Amino acid sequence: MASEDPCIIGSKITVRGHISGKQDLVVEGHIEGHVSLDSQLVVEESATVEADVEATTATVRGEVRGPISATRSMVLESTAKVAGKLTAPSITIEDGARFSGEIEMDVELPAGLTAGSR
Amino acid sequence: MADKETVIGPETRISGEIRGDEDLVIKGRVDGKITLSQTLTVDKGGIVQADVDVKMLVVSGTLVGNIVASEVVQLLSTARVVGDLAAPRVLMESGAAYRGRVDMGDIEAARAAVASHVVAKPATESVHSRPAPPRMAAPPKSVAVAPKVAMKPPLAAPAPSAPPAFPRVSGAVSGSAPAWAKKKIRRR
Amino acid sequence: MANTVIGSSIVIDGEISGDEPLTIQGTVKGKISMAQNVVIDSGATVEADVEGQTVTVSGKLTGNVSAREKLELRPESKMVGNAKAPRIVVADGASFKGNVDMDV
Repeated sequence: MASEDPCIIGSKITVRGHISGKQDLVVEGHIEGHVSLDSQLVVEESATVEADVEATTATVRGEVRGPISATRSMVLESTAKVAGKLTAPSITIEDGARFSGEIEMDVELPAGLTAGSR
Repeated sequence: MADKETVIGPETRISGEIRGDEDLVIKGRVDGKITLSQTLTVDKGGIVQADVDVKMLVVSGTLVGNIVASEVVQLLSTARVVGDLAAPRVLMESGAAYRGRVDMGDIEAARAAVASHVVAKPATESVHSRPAPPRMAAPPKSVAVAPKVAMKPPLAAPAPSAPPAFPRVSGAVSGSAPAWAKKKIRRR
Repeated sequence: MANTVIGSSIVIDGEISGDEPLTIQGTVKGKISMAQNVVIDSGATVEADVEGQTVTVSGKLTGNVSAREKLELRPESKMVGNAKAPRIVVADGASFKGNVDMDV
């Protein structure tokens, strides 16, 4: 299927604005603004993303500042540098990834434990 | 007999403060506070409701509380953790459930995250994020005001001032992407 | 066998309870209530009331002991506190100060 090729934003490209769609997106350049995808997002090592990000899955190898929300899963690989709030049902953080921010997942706690005592 | 490893068995419950200089494995339940200069392991059935200050933390069970680790925090696939976390290295396996703030010591990124949260109102007016210099309007009919103003003629013309032509993708980058989306963009 | 071992460099300030054997090599202050056997190794320091099926002391214990089956003070043990157990053994070399109640 020809339309399965991802859209690639090359390393010397800057995009400012709102990106949305259903096609897999590979970012090698710079994005500012808002990304809203019903598909997979890959932020390559050379990329810098300063945006609100929503995707089905997010694989981060570069720099992201801003909230990332994935409906299925998220992976911060070892070269990732991320700051912001991460929301996903499954998050993987590899050794070497740098992250500061909040992580929001549903955590099922055994009866009798009170969370949120912070 | 294992002299240098403490194990809290699955049927044991401790309520209070635990301190020590050796590894500690929790298979039972601890409520309170744990301070170790070595490794704390919360086994799969272990339940810890405590603030934790250790060198290394490995969680396969449940931990509710704030975490400080001087070396590394590993949340394995059955971990369920709620609480703030500060450590230079954090590993999270797929399947781990976590909720809280993570601080890996990168203060600058944390500040930037706050800043970018303010900036990230969807900038739909893409091109104008850098205000195009208004000079373009200024010296149009320089005829009248002869030499003084007409110092910089070429400003009006091409676009060194405007941001380089980049694809404006406001709107949908939808399914059947146009050809340009599939290859690297060249400036016109 | 599944049990709890509190190592020699561990200090616990609080309450320990449970349904498995407990061995203490470190320091515990507070309260110990176990359904099974409690062993206080030599080198351990316990400042707590202790309840257990059997309580065997080789270290230092300050506190009252209530053992359902037997209390044993081994040589080099030092205990200050009241003892209540149907059977009590105090070895030669043990040091003990407190009341004894063997009437269960």
